[in-house]
Amino acid sequence: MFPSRVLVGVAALLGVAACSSRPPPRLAVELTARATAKAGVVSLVVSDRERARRLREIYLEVVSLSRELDRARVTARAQCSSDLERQNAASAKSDPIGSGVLGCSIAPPLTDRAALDRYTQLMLESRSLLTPREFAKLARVR
Amino acid sequence: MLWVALATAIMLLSGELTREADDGAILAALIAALRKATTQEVAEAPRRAAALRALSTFEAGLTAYRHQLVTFKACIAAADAKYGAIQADYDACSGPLVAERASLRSSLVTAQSEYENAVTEEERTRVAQAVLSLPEARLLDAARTGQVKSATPTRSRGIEGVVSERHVTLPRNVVAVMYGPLTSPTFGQRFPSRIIDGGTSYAHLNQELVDETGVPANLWNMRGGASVGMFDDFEAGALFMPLQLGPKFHYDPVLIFFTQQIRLKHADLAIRASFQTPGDTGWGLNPGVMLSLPGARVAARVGVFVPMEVGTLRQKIDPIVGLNAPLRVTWNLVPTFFLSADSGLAYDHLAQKGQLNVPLGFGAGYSLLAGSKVIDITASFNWDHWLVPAPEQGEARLEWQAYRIAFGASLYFQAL
Repeated sequence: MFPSRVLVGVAALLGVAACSSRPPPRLAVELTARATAKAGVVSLVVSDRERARRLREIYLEVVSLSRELDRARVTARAQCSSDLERQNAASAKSDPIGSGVLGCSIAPPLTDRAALDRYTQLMLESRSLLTPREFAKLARVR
Repeated sequence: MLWVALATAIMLLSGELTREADDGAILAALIAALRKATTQEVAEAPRRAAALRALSTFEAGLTAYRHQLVTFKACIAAADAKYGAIQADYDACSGPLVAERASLRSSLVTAQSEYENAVTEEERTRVAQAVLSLPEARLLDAARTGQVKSATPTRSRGIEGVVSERHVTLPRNVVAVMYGPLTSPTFGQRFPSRIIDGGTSYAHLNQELVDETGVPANLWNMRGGASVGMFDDFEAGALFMPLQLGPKFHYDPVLIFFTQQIRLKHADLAIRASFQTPGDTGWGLNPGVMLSLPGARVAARVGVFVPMEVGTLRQKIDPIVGLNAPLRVTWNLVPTFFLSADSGLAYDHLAQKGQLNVPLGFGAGYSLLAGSKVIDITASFNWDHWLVPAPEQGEARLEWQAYRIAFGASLYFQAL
Protein backbone atom coordinates (compact mmCIF):
# COMPACT_ATOMS: atom_id res chain seq x y z
CA MET A 1 0.00 0.00 0.00
CA PHE A 2 2.75 2.41 1.02
CA PRO A 3 4.80 2.11 -2.21
CA SER A 4 1.70 2.62 -4.35
CA ARG A 5 0.87 5.81 -2.41
CA VAL A 6 4.43 7.02 -2.85
CA LEU A 7 4.24 6.29 -6.58
CA VAL A 8 0.93 8.15 -6.89
CA GLY A 9 2.47 11.06 -4.97
CA VAL A 10 5.53 11.16 -7.23
CA ALA A 11 3.36 10.87 -10.36
CA ALA A 12 1.13 13.71 -9.12
CA LEU A 13 4.15 15.89 -8.38
CA LEU A 14 5.61 15.22 -11.83
CA GLY A 15 2.21 15.88 -13.42
CA VAL A 16 1.86 19.22 -11.65
CA ALA A 17 5.43 20.14 -12.56
CA ALA A 18 4.89 19.20 -16.20
CA CYS A 19 1.69 21.21 -16.46
CA SER A 20 2.80 24.28 -14.48
CA SER A 21 4.16 27.21 -16.42
CA ARG A 22 7.67 28.29 -15.54
CA PRO A 23 8.04 31.90 -14.48
CA PRO A 24 10.05 33.87 -17.06
CA PRO A 25 13.75 33.73 -16.19
CA ARG A 26 15.83 36.86 -15.82
CA LEU A 27 17.95 38.07 -18.73
CA ALA A 28 21.10 36.99 -16.88
CA VAL A 29 19.75 33.44 -16.51
CA GLU A 30 18.89 33.23 -20.21
CA LEU A 31 22.29 34.52 -21.30
CA THR A 32 24.03 32.08 -18.93
CA ALA A 33 21.98 29.15 -20.21
CA ARG A 34 22.80 29.94 -23.86
CA ALA A 35 26.49 30.47 -23.14
CA THR A 36 26.99 27.37 -20.97
CA ALA A 37 25.16 25.17 -23.47
CA LYS A 38 27.62 26.27 -26.15
CA ALA A 39 30.74 26.26 -23.96
CA GLY A 40 30.43 22.54 -23.29
CA VAL A 41 30.15 21.43 -26.90
CA VAL A 42 32.11 24.05 -28.81
CA SER A 43 35.09 21.69 -29.14
CA LEU A 44 32.89 19.16 -30.95
CA VAL A 45 31.95 21.79 -33.53
CA VAL A 46 35.18 23.75 -34.00
CA SER A 47 38.01 21.37 -34.78
CA ASP A 48 40.74 24.03 -34.49
CA ARG A 49 41.76 23.85 -30.82
CA GLU A 50 42.91 27.47 -30.65
CA ARG A 51 39.62 28.87 -31.98
CA ALA A 52 37.65 26.49 -29.78
CA ARG A 53 39.61 27.60 -26.72
CA ARG A 54 38.97 31.29 -27.39
CA LEU A 55 35.28 30.65 -28.05
CA ARG A 56 34.99 28.77 -24.81
CA GLU A 57 36.61 31.69 -23.00
CA ILE A 58 34.08 34.01 -24.61
CA TYR A 59 31.13 31.89 -23.48
CA LEU A 60 32.52 31.65 -19.96
CA GLU A 61 33.02 35.41 -19.87
CA VAL A 62 29.35 35.77 -20.81
CA VAL A 63 28.53 33.78 -17.68
CA SER A 64 30.57 36.24 -15.59
CA LEU A 65 28.89 39.16 -17.35
CA SER A 66 25.51 37.72 -16.52
CA ARG A 67 26.43 37.83 -12.85
CA GLU A 68 27.51 41.45 -13.34
CA LEU A 69 24.15 42.22 -14.97
CA ASP A 70 22.37 40.82 -11.93
CA ARG A 71 24.58 42.79 -9.59
CA ALA A 72 24.16 46.00 -11.59
CA ARG A 73 20.35 45.68 -11.55
CA VAL A 74 20.24 45.09 -7.80
CA THR A 75 22.73 47.86 -7.07
CA ALA A 76 20.68 50.24 -9.21
CA ARG A 77 17.57 49.40 -7.21
CA ALA A 78 19.37 49.88 -3.91
CA GLN A 79 20.89 53.19 -5.05
CA CYS A 80 17.52 54.42 -6.29
CA SER A 81 15.82 53.41 -3.01
CA SER A 82 18.45 54.97 -0.80
CA ASP A 83 18.39 58.25 -2.80
CA LEU A 84 14.63 58.47 -2.37
CA GLU A 85 14.71 57.45 1.28
CA ARG A 86 17.16 60.23 2.05
CA GLN A 87 14.69 62.75 0.61
CA ASN A 88 11.68 61.35 2.49
CA ALA A 89 10.52 61.79 6.08
CA ALA A 90 11.52 59.12 8.56
CA SER A 91 7.92 57.94 8.86
CA ALA A 92 7.76 57.16 5.14
CA LYS A 93 10.80 54.90 5.19
CA SER A 94 8.84 51.80 6.15
CA ASP A 95 6.15 52.56 3.57
CA PRO A 96 6.85 50.67 0.31
CA ILE A 97 5.24 53.36 -1.83
CA GLY A 98 6.18 56.45 0.15
CA SER A 99 9.82 55.41 0.44
CA GLY A 100 9.94 54.87 -3.34
CA VAL A 101 11.25 51.34 -2.97
CA LEU A 102 8.32 49.85 -4.89
CA GLY A 103 8.84 52.23 -7.82
CA CYS A 104 12.57 51.51 -7.80
CA SER A 105 11.89 47.77 -7.78
CA ILE A 106 9.45 47.98 -10.68
CA ALA A 107 11.63 50.11 -12.90
CA PRO A 108 15.20 50.45 -11.70
CA PRO A 109 17.36 52.98 -13.54
CA LEU A 110 19.48 51.56 -16.35
CA THR A 111 23.03 51.12 -15.12
CA ASP A 112 24.06 47.89 -16.83
CA ARG A 113 25.12 49.41 -20.14
CA ALA A 114 28.80 48.54 -19.68
CA ALA A 115 28.01 44.84 -19.24
CA LEU A 116 25.67 44.87 -22.22
CA ASP A 117 28.24 46.61 -24.39
CA ARG A 118 30.83 44.00 -23.41
CA TYR A 119 28.32 41.27 -24.21
CA THR A 120 27.83 42.74 -27.68
CA GLN A 121 31.60 42.87 -28.26
CA LEU A 122 31.96 39.23 -27.21
CA MET A 123 29.15 38.08 -29.45
CA LEU A 124 30.62 39.94 -32.41
CA GLU A 125 34.05 38.47 -31.70
CA SER A 126 32.56 34.97 -31.55
CA ARG A 127 31.24 35.46 -35.11
CA SER A 128 34.70 36.35 -36.33
CA LEU A 129 35.93 32.99 -34.98
CA LEU A 130 33.16 30.88 -36.47
CA THR A 131 32.28 29.88 -39.99
CA PRO A 132 28.58 30.21 -40.91
CA ARG A 133 28.23 26.41 -40.70
CA GLU A 134 29.82 26.22 -37.26
CA PHE A 135 27.72 29.16 -36.10
CA ALA A 136 24.52 27.48 -37.30
CA LYS A 137 25.45 24.25 -35.51
CA LEU A 138 26.12 26.05 -32.24
CA ALA A 139 22.98 28.16 -32.57
CA ARG A 140 20.93 24.96 -32.65
CA VAL A 141 22.34 23.87 -29.27
CA ARG A 142 20.23 26.47 -27.48
CA MET B 1 8.35 15.26 -21.22
CA LEU B 2 9.15 13.04 -18.23
CA TRP B 3 12.60 14.58 -17.92
CA VAL B 4 11.26 18.12 -18.20
CA ALA B 5 8.71 17.33 -15.49
CA LEU B 6 11.34 15.74 -13.26
CA ALA B 7 13.78 18.63 -13.71
CA THR B 8 10.99 21.19 -13.14
CA ALA B 9 9.79 19.34 -10.02
CA ILE B 10 13.30 19.29 -8.54
CA MET B 11 13.85 22.96 -9.33
CA LEU B 12 10.43 23.81 -7.89
CA LEU B 13 11.11 21.94 -4.65
CA SER B 14 14.62 23.32 -4.25
CA GLY B 15 13.46 26.90 -4.89
CA GLU B 16 15.70 27.16 -7.94
CA LEU B 17 12.86 28.29 -10.22
CA THR B 18 12.11 31.24 -7.94
CA ARG B 19 15.78 32.20 -7.78
CA GLU B 20 16.04 32.15 -11.57
CA ALA B 21 12.78 33.98 -12.22
CA ASP B 22 12.44 37.70 -12.73
CA ASP B 23 10.74 39.55 -9.86
CA GLY B 24 7.55 40.34 -11.78
CA ALA B 25 5.33 37.78 -10.07
CA ILE B 26 6.47 38.85 -6.59
CA LEU B 27 5.97 42.54 -7.37
CA ALA B 28 2.51 41.78 -8.78
CA ALA B 29 1.64 39.97 -5.53
CA LEU B 30 2.87 42.95 -3.50
CA ILE B 31 0.79 45.41 -5.52
CA ALA B 32 -2.26 43.14 -5.12
CA ALA B 33 -1.66 43.13 -1.35
CA LEU B 34 -1.33 46.93 -1.36
CA ARG B 35 -4.61 47.16 -3.24
CA LYS B 36 -6.37 44.91 -0.73
CA ALA B 37 -4.95 46.72 2.30
CA THR B 38 -5.73 50.14 0.81
CA THR B 39 -9.34 49.08 0.15
CA GLN B 40 -9.64 47.98 3.78
CA GLU B 41 -7.82 50.84 5.46
CA VAL B 42 -8.85 53.95 3.51
CA ALA B 43 -12.34 54.79 4.73
CA GLU B 44 -13.45 57.66 2.47
CA ALA B 45 -14.56 56.55 -0.98
CA PRO B 46 -13.09 59.44 -3.08
CA ARG B 47 -9.67 59.14 -1.42
CA ARG B 48 -9.79 55.36 -1.71
CA ALA B 49 -10.63 55.62 -5.42
CA ALA B 50 -7.72 58.00 -5.98
CA ALA B 51 -5.34 55.68 -4.10
CA LEU B 52 -6.50 52.68 -6.10
CA ARG B 53 -6.02 54.66 -9.34
CA ALA B 54 -2.44 55.33 -8.28
CA LEU B 55 -1.97 51.63 -7.60
CA SER B 56 -3.35 50.88 -11.07
CA THR B 57 -0.55 53.06 -12.45
CA PHE B 58 1.95 50.92 -10.54
CA GLU B 59 0.35 47.79 -12.03
CA ALA B 60 0.48 49.28 -15.51
CA GLY B 61 4.10 50.26 -14.87
CA LEU B 62 4.98 46.73 -13.87
CA THR B 63 3.27 45.35 -16.98
CA ALA B 64 5.15 47.84 -19.14
CA TYR B 65 8.46 46.97 -17.47
CA ARG B 66 7.92 43.24 -17.98
CA HIS B 67 6.95 43.88 -21.59
CA GLN B 68 10.17 45.89 -22.07
CA LEU B 69 12.16 42.99 -20.69
CA VAL B 70 10.44 40.39 -22.86
CA THR B 71 10.97 42.51 -25.96
CA PHE B 72 14.59 43.17 -25.05
CA LYS B 73 15.36 39.50 -24.35
CA ALA B 74 13.69 38.44 -27.61
CA CYS B 75 15.66 41.10 -29.51
CA ILE B 76 18.98 39.92 -28.01
CA ALA B 77 18.10 36.28 -28.69
CA ALA B 78 17.29 37.13 -32.32
CA ALA B 79 20.60 38.99 -32.72
CA ASP B 80 22.48 36.11 -31.09
CA ALA B 81 20.95 33.67 -33.56
CA LYS B 82 21.91 35.73 -36.65
CA TYR B 83 25.39 35.09 -38.06
CA GLY B 84 25.46 38.42 -39.87
CA ALA B 85 24.45 40.42 -36.80
CA ILE B 86 26.40 43.65 -36.31
CA GLN B 87 26.71 46.26 -33.58
CA ALA B 88 23.61 48.03 -34.90
CA ASP B 89 21.48 44.92 -34.29
CA TYR B 90 22.41 44.90 -30.60
CA ASP B 91 22.12 48.70 -30.32
CA ALA B 92 18.60 48.42 -31.73
CA CYS B 93 17.72 46.23 -28.73
CA SER B 94 19.03 48.51 -26.01
CA GLY B 95 18.39 51.87 -27.74
CA PRO B 96 14.70 52.30 -26.86
CA LEU B 97 15.23 51.07 -23.30
CA VAL B 98 16.67 54.33 -21.95
CA ALA B 99 13.74 56.48 -23.05
CA GLU B 100 11.16 53.86 -22.10
CA ARG B 101 12.64 53.38 -18.64
CA ALA B 102 12.84 57.16 -17.99
CA SER B 103 9.20 57.62 -18.98
CA LEU B 104 8.18 54.70 -16.79
CA ARG B 105 10.08 56.08 -13.83
CA SER B 106 8.43 59.46 -14.18
CA SER B 107 4.93 57.90 -14.33
CA LEU B 108 5.70 55.93 -11.17
CA VAL B 109 6.94 59.05 -9.34
CA THR B 110 3.66 60.78 -10.29
CA ALA B 111 1.67 57.75 -9.07
CA GLN B 112 3.62 57.79 -5.83
CA SER B 113 2.69 61.41 -5.08
CA GLU B 114 -0.94 60.74 -6.08
CA TYR B 115 -1.07 57.86 -3.63
CA GLU B 116 0.55 59.91 -0.86
CA ASN B 117 -1.96 62.73 -1.39
CA ALA B 118 -4.88 60.33 -1.23
CA VAL B 119 -3.88 58.37 1.87
CA THR B 120 -3.25 59.77 5.35
CA GLU B 121 -0.08 58.97 7.22
CA GLU B 122 -1.87 56.70 9.73
CA GLU B 123 -3.57 54.81 6.92
CA ARG B 124 -0.27 54.42 5.10
CA THR B 125 1.34 53.00 8.24
CA ARG B 126 -1.42 50.39 8.57
CA VAL B 127 -1.23 49.51 4.86
CA ALA B 128 2.54 49.18 5.12
CA GLN B 129 2.23 46.91 8.16
CA ALA B 130 -0.19 44.64 6.33
CA VAL B 131 2.04 44.40 3.25
CA LEU B 132 5.41 44.13 4.97
CA SER B 133 4.26 41.09 6.94
CA LEU B 134 4.03 39.11 3.69
CA PRO B 135 6.95 36.85 2.68
CA GLU B 136 7.06 38.63 -0.71
CA ALA B 137 8.11 41.82 1.12
CA ARG B 138 11.58 40.32 1.50
CA LEU B 139 12.12 41.48 -2.06
CA LEU B 140 11.76 45.09 -0.91
CA ASP B 141 14.35 44.55 1.84
CA ALA B 142 16.70 43.06 -0.74
CA ALA B 143 16.04 46.06 -3.00
CA ARG B 144 16.95 48.42 -0.15
CA THR B 145 20.12 46.62 0.82
CA GLY B 146 21.30 45.73 -2.68
CA GLN B 147 21.41 42.05 -1.83
CA VAL B 148 21.89 39.92 -4.96
CA LYS B 149 19.46 37.06 -5.46
CA SER B 150 22.01 34.44 -6.29
CA ALA B 151 21.02 31.88 -8.87
CA THR B 152 24.57 31.36 -9.93
CA PRO B 153 25.08 27.65 -10.38
CA THR B 154 28.27 26.24 -8.95
CA ARG B 155 28.72 24.20 -12.11
CA SER B 156 28.03 24.89 -15.75
CA ARG B 157 24.75 23.24 -16.73
CA GLY B 158 25.48 22.58 -20.38
CA ILE B 159 26.23 19.17 -21.82
CA GLU B 160 29.90 18.27 -21.50
CA GLY B 161 31.11 17.45 -24.99
CA VAL B 162 34.68 16.15 -24.97
CA VAL B 163 34.79 12.78 -23.19
CA SER B 164 38.11 13.34 -21.43
CA GLU B 165 36.84 16.64 -19.98
CA ARG B 166 33.69 15.18 -18.47
CA HIS B 167 33.14 15.00 -14.76
CA VAL B 168 31.97 11.89 -12.94
CA THR B 169 28.36 13.03 -12.70
CA LEU B 170 26.18 14.74 -15.27
CA PRO B 171 25.57 18.47 -14.94
CA ARG B 172 22.23 19.42 -13.47
CA ASN B 173 19.23 18.84 -15.75
CA VAL B 174 21.33 16.91 -18.26
CA VAL B 175 19.90 13.52 -19.13
CA ALA B 176 21.81 10.56 -20.53
CA VAL B 177 20.02 7.80 -22.38
CA MET B 178 22.59 5.05 -22.13
CA TYR B 179 22.83 2.29 -24.62
CA GLY B 180 26.54 1.95 -25.01
CA PRO B 181 29.64 0.87 -23.09
CA LEU B 182 32.18 3.18 -21.43
CA THR B 183 29.69 5.49 -19.76
CA SER B 184 30.48 6.92 -16.34
CA PRO B 185 27.70 5.11 -14.38
CA THR B 186 28.81 1.65 -15.55
CA PHE B 187 32.46 2.21 -14.62
CA GLY B 188 33.32 -0.39 -11.96
CA GLN B 189 29.96 -2.20 -12.10
CA ARG B 190 31.52 -5.62 -11.67
CA PHE B 191 29.37 -7.79 -9.40
CA PRO B 192 30.43 -11.28 -8.29
CA SER B 193 28.07 -12.99 -10.74
CA ARG B 194 27.98 -10.52 -13.63
CA ILE B 195 29.78 -7.58 -15.17
CA ILE B 196 27.47 -4.79 -16.24
CA ASP B 197 28.01 -2.38 -19.10
CA GLY B 198 25.61 -0.66 -21.47
CA GLY B 199 24.83 -1.57 -25.06
CA THR B 200 24.76 -4.86 -26.89
CA SER B 201 27.41 -7.22 -25.63
CA TYR B 202 28.75 -10.67 -26.36
CA ALA B 203 30.78 -12.45 -23.70
CA HIS B 204 32.72 -15.62 -24.34
CA LEU B 205 34.12 -17.67 -21.44
CA ASN B 206 36.50 -20.64 -21.61
CA GLN B 207 35.44 -23.98 -20.07
CA GLU B 208 37.37 -23.39 -16.86
CA LEU B 209 35.55 -20.15 -16.13
CA VAL B 210 32.22 -21.68 -17.13
CA ASP B 211 32.75 -24.41 -14.54
CA GLU B 212 33.94 -21.93 -11.94
CA THR B 213 31.26 -19.26 -12.31
CA GLY B 214 28.31 -21.21 -13.73
CA VAL B 215 27.88 -18.51 -16.39
CA PRO B 216 27.11 -19.78 -19.95
CA ALA B 217 30.04 -19.90 -22.35
CA ASN B 218 28.43 -17.60 -24.90
CA LEU B 219 26.33 -14.83 -23.49
CA TRP B 220 24.46 -12.12 -25.37
CA ASN B 221 23.12 -9.11 -23.47
CA MET B 222 21.40 -5.86 -24.22
CA ARG B 223 21.45 -3.21 -21.52
CA GLY B 224 20.00 0.27 -21.67
CA GLY B 225 18.82 2.88 -19.25
CA ALA B 226 18.99 6.51 -18.28
CA SER B 227 20.59 8.79 -15.76
CA VAL B 228 19.97 12.40 -14.88
CA GLY B 229 21.94 15.13 -13.15
CA MET B 230 19.47 15.95 -10.39
CA PHE B 231 21.63 18.58 -8.72
CA ASP B 232 24.93 20.22 -9.69
CA ASP B 233 26.95 17.25 -8.41
CA PHE B 234 24.40 14.52 -7.85
CA GLU B 235 23.30 12.02 -10.42
CA ALA B 236 20.83 9.15 -10.26
CA GLY B 237 19.84 6.60 -12.83
CA ALA B 238 19.14 3.01 -13.72
CA LEU B 239 19.84 0.43 -16.37
CA PHE B 240 16.20 -0.61 -16.50
CA MET B 241 16.36 -2.52 -19.76
CA PRO B 242 18.73 -5.37 -18.89
CA LEU B 243 18.03 -8.25 -21.24
CA GLN B 244 19.86 -11.50 -21.69
CA LEU B 245 19.33 -12.44 -25.31
CA GLY B 246 21.19 -15.73 -25.42
CA PRO B 247 21.68 -18.59 -24.89
CA LYS B 248 18.28 -18.14 -23.21
CA PHE B 249 16.20 -14.97 -23.23
CA HIS B 250 15.38 -13.48 -19.86
CA TYR B 251 15.13 -10.21 -17.99
CA ASP B 252 18.26 -9.55 -15.93
CA PRO B 253 18.29 -7.60 -12.66
CA VAL B 254 17.87 -3.84 -12.91
CA LEU B 255 20.85 -1.74 -11.86
CA ILE B 256 20.13 1.46 -9.94
CA PHE B 257 22.82 3.96 -8.97
CA PHE B 258 23.29 7.25 -7.14
CA THR B 259 26.50 9.24 -7.37
CA GLN B 260 27.56 12.26 -5.37
CA GLN B 261 30.60 14.13 -6.60
CA ILE B 262 32.96 16.57 -4.93
CA ARG B 263 34.72 18.75 -7.48
CA LEU B 264 38.22 19.73 -6.55
CA LYS B 265 40.49 22.02 -8.57
CA HIS B 266 41.90 19.38 -10.92
CA ALA B 267 40.11 16.24 -9.79
CA ASP B 268 36.72 14.87 -8.90
CA LEU B 269 36.09 12.67 -5.93
CA ALA B 270 32.85 10.71 -6.03
CA ILE B 271 30.90 8.31 -3.90
CA ARG B 272 28.55 5.92 -5.66
CA ALA B 273 25.95 3.57 -4.26
CA SER B 274 24.62 1.00 -6.72
CA PHE B 275 22.31 -1.89 -6.24
CA GLN B 276 20.74 -4.58 -8.35
CA THR B 277 17.26 -5.99 -7.99
CA PRO B 278 17.33 -9.66 -6.95
CA GLY B 279 18.81 -12.17 -9.38
CA ASP B 280 19.97 -15.76 -8.81
CA THR B 281 22.11 -14.62 -5.88
CA GLY B 282 19.65 -12.11 -4.49
CA TRP B 283 20.17 -8.40 -4.09
CA GLY B 284 23.41 -6.96 -5.37
CA LEU B 285 25.12 -3.98 -3.75
CA ASN B 286 28.12 -2.11 -5.02
CA PRO B 287 29.20 0.86 -2.90
CA GLY B 288 32.43 2.57 -3.79
CA VAL B 289 34.49 5.68 -4.30
CA MET B 290 36.05 7.08 -7.45
CA LEU B 291 38.77 9.57 -8.20
CA SER B 292 38.70 11.16 -11.62
CA LEU B 293 41.27 13.41 -13.26
CA PRO B 294 39.63 15.05 -16.27
CA GLY B 295 41.81 16.75 -18.85
CA ALA B 296 41.70 18.39 -22.27
CA ARG B 297 43.25 15.32 -23.97
CA VAL B 298 43.84 12.65 -21.36
CA ALA B 299 41.71 11.64 -18.41
CA ALA B 300 42.19 8.99 -15.79
CA ARG B 301 39.72 7.43 -13.41
CA VAL B 302 40.27 4.98 -10.63
CA GLY B 303 37.81 3.48 -8.18
CA VAL B 304 37.48 1.13 -5.26
CA PHE B 305 34.24 -0.82 -4.97
CA VAL B 306 33.00 -3.54 -2.68
CA PRO B 307 30.47 -5.50 -4.76
CA MET B 308 28.36 -8.03 -2.93
CA GLU B 309 25.44 -10.32 -3.50
CA VAL B 310 23.46 -10.95 -0.36
CA GLY B 311 20.45 -13.10 -1.20
CA THR B 312 16.92 -12.09 -0.27
CA LEU B 313 14.76 -12.41 2.83
CA ARG B 314 13.21 -15.58 1.39
CA GLN B 315 16.31 -17.00 -0.25
CA LYS B 316 19.09 -16.58 2.29
CA ILE B 317 22.68 -17.13 1.19
CA ASP B 318 26.10 -16.47 2.64
CA PRO B 319 26.95 -13.06 1.22
CA ILE B 320 29.37 -13.15 -1.69
CA VAL B 321 31.67 -10.18 -1.25
CA GLY B 322 34.29 -9.01 -3.69
CA LEU B 323 36.70 -6.15 -4.11
CA ASN B 324 37.16 -4.25 -7.34
CA ALA B 325 39.62 -1.48 -8.15
CA PRO B 326 39.08 -0.47 -11.77
CA LEU B 327 41.28 1.95 -13.68
CA ARG B 328 40.43 3.70 -16.96
CA VAL B 329 42.56 6.02 -19.03
CA THR B 330 40.85 7.95 -21.81
CA TRP B 331 42.74 9.71 -24.57
CA ASN B 332 40.97 12.12 -26.89
CA LEU B 333 43.01 12.04 -30.09
CA VAL B 334 40.76 14.81 -31.37
CA PRO B 335 37.85 16.34 -29.45
CA THR B 336 35.37 14.07 -31.21
CA PHE B 337 37.28 10.76 -31.08
CA PHE B 338 38.71 8.95 -28.09
CA LEU B 339 40.46 5.72 -27.19
CA SER B 340 40.37 4.16 -23.78
CA ALA B 341 42.24 1.49 -21.85
CA ASP B 342 40.82 -0.33 -18.84
CA SER B 343 42.58 -2.39 -16.22
CA GLY B 344 42.81 -2.63 -12.44
CA LEU B 345 42.34 -5.39 -9.93
CA ALA B 346 39.28 -7.48 -9.27
CA TYR B 347 38.70 -10.03 -6.56
CA ASP B 348 35.25 -11.44 -7.29
CA HIS B 349 34.84 -13.56 -4.14
CA LEU B 350 36.98 -12.67 -1.14
CA ALA B 351 36.10 -15.89 0.70
CA GLN B 352 37.65 -18.03 -2.02
CA LYS B 353 41.33 -18.34 -2.80
CA GLY B 354 42.76 -17.62 -6.21
CA GLN B 355 40.01 -15.22 -7.33
CA LEU B 356 42.27 -12.27 -8.01
CA ASN B 357 42.05 -11.04 -11.62
CA VAL B 358 43.70 -8.31 -13.57
CA PRO B 359 41.32 -7.28 -16.34
CA LEU B 360 42.42 -5.58 -19.52
CA GLY B 361 40.24 -3.76 -21.99
CA PHE B 362 40.26 -1.28 -24.83
CA GLY B 363 37.60 1.01 -26.11
CA ALA B 364 36.93 3.68 -28.68
CA GLY B 365 34.23 6.22 -29.20
CA TYR B 366 33.06 9.03 -31.43
CA SER B 367 31.15 12.03 -30.05
CA LEU B 368 28.75 13.77 -32.35
CA LEU B 369 26.73 16.93 -31.87
CA ALA B 370 23.29 16.40 -33.40
CA GLY B 371 21.19 19.53 -32.96
CA SER B 372 21.11 20.14 -29.23
CA LYS B 373 22.08 16.58 -28.33
CA VAL B 374 25.44 14.86 -28.01
CA ILE B 375 25.66 11.24 -29.14
CA ASP B 376 28.55 8.99 -28.16
CA ILE B 377 28.99 5.96 -30.40
CA THR B 378 31.16 3.56 -28.44
CA ALA B 379 32.64 0.08 -28.56
CA SER B 380 34.80 -1.89 -26.18
CA PHE B 381 36.77 -5.13 -26.04
CA ASN B 382 37.62 -6.57 -22.62
CA TRP B 383 39.39 -9.53 -21.14
CA ASP B 384 37.63 -9.45 -17.79
CA HIS B 385 39.86 -12.25 -16.41
CA TRP B 386 42.95 -11.40 -18.47
CA LEU B 387 45.61 -12.20 -15.87
CA VAL B 388 45.09 -14.57 -12.97
CA PRO B 389 48.26 -13.89 -10.95
CA ALA B 390 47.70 -16.34 -8.12
CA PRO B 391 45.25 -19.11 -9.00
CA GLU B 392 44.34 -21.67 -6.36
CA GLN B 393 46.03 -24.33 -8.44
CA GLY B 394 48.96 -23.92 -10.79
CA GLU B 395 50.87 -20.82 -11.79
CA ALA B 396 49.88 -17.36 -12.96
CA ARG B 397 48.17 -17.51 -16.33
CA LEU B 398 46.71 -15.31 -19.03
CA GLU B 399 43.10 -15.97 -20.08
CA TRP B 400 42.99 -14.89 -23.71
CA GLN B 401 39.98 -17.03 -24.53
CA ALA B 402 37.57 -15.29 -22.17
CA TYR B 403 36.57 -11.94 -23.63
CA ARG B 404 33.66 -9.54 -23.94
CA ILE B 405 32.73 -7.22 -26.79
CA ALA B 406 30.23 -4.40 -26.36
CA PHE B 407 28.96 -1.65 -28.60
CA GLY B 408 26.20 0.93 -28.70
CA ALA B 409 25.44 4.61 -28.43
CA SER B 410 24.46 6.99 -25.65
CA LEU B 411 22.56 10.22 -26.01
CA TYR B 412 22.92 13.32 -23.86
CA PHE B 413 20.52 16.24 -23.76
CA GLN B 414 19.39 19.09 -21.53
CA ALA B 415 15.98 18.54 -19.98
CA LEU B 416 15.44 22.27 -19.36
